[in-house]
Amino acid sequence: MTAVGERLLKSASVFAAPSFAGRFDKLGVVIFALAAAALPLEPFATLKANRIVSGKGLSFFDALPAAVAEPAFGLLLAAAILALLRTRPELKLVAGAVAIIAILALIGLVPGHVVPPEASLARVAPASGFWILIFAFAILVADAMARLELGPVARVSALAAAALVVGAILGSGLWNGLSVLKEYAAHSDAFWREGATHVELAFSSLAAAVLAGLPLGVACQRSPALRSATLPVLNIIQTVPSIAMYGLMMAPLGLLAARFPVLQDFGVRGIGAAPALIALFLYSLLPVTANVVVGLEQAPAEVVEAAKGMGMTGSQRLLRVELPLAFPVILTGIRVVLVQNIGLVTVAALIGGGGFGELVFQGIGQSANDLVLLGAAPTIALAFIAAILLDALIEWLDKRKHP
Amino acid sequence: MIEIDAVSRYFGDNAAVEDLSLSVARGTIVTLVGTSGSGKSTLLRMINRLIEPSKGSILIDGRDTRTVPGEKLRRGIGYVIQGYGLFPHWTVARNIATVPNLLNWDARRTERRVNELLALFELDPNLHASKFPHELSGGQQQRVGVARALAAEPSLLLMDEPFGALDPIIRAKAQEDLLTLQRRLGVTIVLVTHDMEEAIALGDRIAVMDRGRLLQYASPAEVLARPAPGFVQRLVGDRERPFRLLSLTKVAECAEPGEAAGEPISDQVSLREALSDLLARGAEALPVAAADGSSIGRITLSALLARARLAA
Amino acid sequence: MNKLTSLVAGLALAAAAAVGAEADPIVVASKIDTEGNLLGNIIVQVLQAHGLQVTNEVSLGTTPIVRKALIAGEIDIYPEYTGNAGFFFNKADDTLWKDAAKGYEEAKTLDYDANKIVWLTPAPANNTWAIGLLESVASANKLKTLDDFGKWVAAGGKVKLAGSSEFVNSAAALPAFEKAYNFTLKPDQLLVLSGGDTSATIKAAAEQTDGVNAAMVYGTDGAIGAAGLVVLDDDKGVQPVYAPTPIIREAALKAHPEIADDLKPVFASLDLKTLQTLNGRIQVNGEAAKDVAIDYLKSKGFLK
Repeated sequence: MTAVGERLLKSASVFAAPSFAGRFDKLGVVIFALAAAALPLEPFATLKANRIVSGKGLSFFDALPAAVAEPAFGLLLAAAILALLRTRPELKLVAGAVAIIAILALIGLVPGHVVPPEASLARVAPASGFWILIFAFAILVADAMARLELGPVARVSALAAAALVVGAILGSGLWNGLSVLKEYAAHSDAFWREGATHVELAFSSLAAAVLAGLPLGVACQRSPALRSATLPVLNIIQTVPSIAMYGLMMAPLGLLAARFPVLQDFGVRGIGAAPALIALFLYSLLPVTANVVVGLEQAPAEVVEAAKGMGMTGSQRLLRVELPLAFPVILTGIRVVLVQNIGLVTVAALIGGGGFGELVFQGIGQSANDLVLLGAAPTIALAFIAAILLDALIEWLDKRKHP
Repeated sequence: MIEIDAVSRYFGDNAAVEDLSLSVARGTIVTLVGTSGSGKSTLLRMINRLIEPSKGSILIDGRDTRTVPGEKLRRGIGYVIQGYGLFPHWTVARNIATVPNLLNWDARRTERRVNELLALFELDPNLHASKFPHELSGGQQQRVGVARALAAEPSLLLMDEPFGALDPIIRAKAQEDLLTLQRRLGVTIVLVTHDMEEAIALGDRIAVMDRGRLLQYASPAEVLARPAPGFVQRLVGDRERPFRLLSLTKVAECAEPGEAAGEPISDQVSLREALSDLLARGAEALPVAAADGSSIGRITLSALLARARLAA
Repeated sequence: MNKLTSLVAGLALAAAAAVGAEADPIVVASKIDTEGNLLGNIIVQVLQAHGLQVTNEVSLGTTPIVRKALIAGEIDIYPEYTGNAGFFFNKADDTLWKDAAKGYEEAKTLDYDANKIVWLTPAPANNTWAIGLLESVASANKLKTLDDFGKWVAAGGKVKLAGSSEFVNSAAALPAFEKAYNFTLKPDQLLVLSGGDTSATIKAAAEQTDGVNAAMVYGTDGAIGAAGLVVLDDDKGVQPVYAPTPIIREAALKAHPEIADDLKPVFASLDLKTLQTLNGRIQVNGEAAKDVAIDYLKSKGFLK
């Protein structure tokens, strides 16, 4: 065995010593390993001659001016070491947050440093090193937050703070040199228009599903026969792939709109929002209906009995007792649907439904990954925000009712 | 007040209640006692039409219960079940106000009534009115359950194992409180229990049921002294009977003039408790005192033994 | 945009609205690809410049979607390709599609007879399957046409072609080229990619991934120039001609007959090189299709 090999083996054996395990945080070891490997070894950014060709990877020290790169490297390494040690979660949270903000700021500095002024078509995008670093410190932040056992209000505040940071970076123009924002500059009208459509489609299909699913769920809970007929059908609908579903909606709607032209004035056509909306509505029915049924079932038997015995009519029982008690479970179903629909709307772009999917598919067709990113990132962010907000709401409601 | 007339209830081929007739006098407590499956809960639920009789009829104050819409009937009858069924998403005050709200009482009247009941059940309105059920102890929940049943001033209260979830010490107090309450309000109570002790302690009359049929309906003294042969006899419990019989009478009724040595016992305790004291102290007799401390006389072991004898 | 929610309330209003159908705006659509975006935006700008009310549904969806929408009357006009008519009417094997003029006439007749759709003036460009070769290789070996290419490959020229599996296997595509120009590409001279995306094949050639120096392209692809490729001339006319043509519903054309004349000079000016350049600006430079359309129309004086 070579001398180097022996030394490596010796230092690796440190990891096996029992005292080692006690001093270091297990997850922190992973985070440290990721960060320490990504910083020197993985490209931090790529520089492309134009938006469609592949670029050249730039290491952390090539991508940034030395005056910035060296202190930044130190900062990130320090944060990674803090992750490694067993320290208070508050410290880890701060370290992780500072690291992420630093990385986000640093990537904005890259275009200024690496793009020669005459290369107007050149594009800079984040590379694997950037993503791995963000991922590693994001785990650190998430783990620290979990250990702090933050309540729903604290979590929403953290989300708001994160949104403020991102908003500040965008507003300051720090990222304007990056490829994704250049795509935005060329497609800003479409971005906001499709964004509005995306949100509209997701929410209106949710609203329709709740309006229909609530009474359907109540009926299914009251009647086992209806339940055993309905839930399997809804289950089958869930399994139809979304593209196929959108396609299935087009033909009957097209026929309908052709027979009754008045419907066209109301946007009912075989293309566009109408088939997308109906498909999304169908996909939303199962989670809503099933959760209404489960929510109603889990009302304690003696509570329902007491309600009956005290002289409430069926609808009074439903509205005053059973539905309020079922609300957290129903809200969970709504959360599932909203996050699901935000994702599904992306595919609706293929049938003219609009939404961020427009950008994604145009980007795919043009082999322009940054245009895809411009469409995908807001979609993911929307889904993430919806999930966090609704989860916090559900937990907050739950806390009020139980010890 | 309640006339149960040849009532039967079938579930498929199974008769949960079979040809049962019973009459409950106004202002009394009737306990329905039996083992599980005896049909006592089913019978209770037929009084407020949570379950409809298959045959027969039930009259309350002379009116057939079927002539009144079910919800209206139930709003006029208090109902307490095991587990209480307090609405977890409503405060104590709102729970108690359930039936008044259903009856559209005006807000002030309801508030007054809620506070009245809280005070009656020794729950400070300032402390407890805005608490949620999960914040209360078991005993407090039980009291709120009964308070809620009495909120709309019903003249009939139906209770199904209302003390089942309480521990023995609290249960005894709760039973005492119920008796006091009933004497004060004059409300008619039909109470289901599987516990013979409880049935004897609470009931003015006991209805013993087995497999859907009424086996004996009489005062506790009668049931203890002359239990119907078979099931009732077994239920009453041979070895327990003398003690149970003693528990029905207070010392005040058995005291005789005279003197005895030792610490006096109250004239309000039952003969069973007096027996326990006599045995514990190894005495033949003990002095008896009234609540104000004045001497009433004495109680002797031989007088007790005479009372306890069951043989005809 | 989503008026579906007010359907129940406003049904009565619809009756009155339907009466005023003649005042409806023209619905301009296009396919979801780069060139569709470009041509669709050009049509929108031209019609608006001539004072027409236009509803913009550019980048609507894939070919089947857009076609169905036109036939159903949900859109009024969109840019299609003459060669595609062969597929719409199940006559793809007919050789007449290889002739630009004959193909156009056939498409025009078939679509009018079947669907009352009018094919307006086509552009003199051919957005059909072609082979693009790295400029350096082409000039080094003096290859201009597919005939040159065929001879060079048969003589042992070092070539590796990136193409979709459809291109490589479909009898009408690569096999047709091989037959007509007397060359065969062996499996190790091919890089087969899934999906029909020429941007991926062009990228492979530009970066010489795996030794690729040739790519399946569509004639007017914008990335060709930027990738350093040249399109080899299909001098024997092996492929059907796909000339971009605006097609419009007869009813819409009758309502506004000037549309035909308005679009004629514009489309006539869109030759292969022009389309490649314009597509290139959108695809390679990342400019917005609308901006590129307006800029072009202004530079040619079609727009003030």
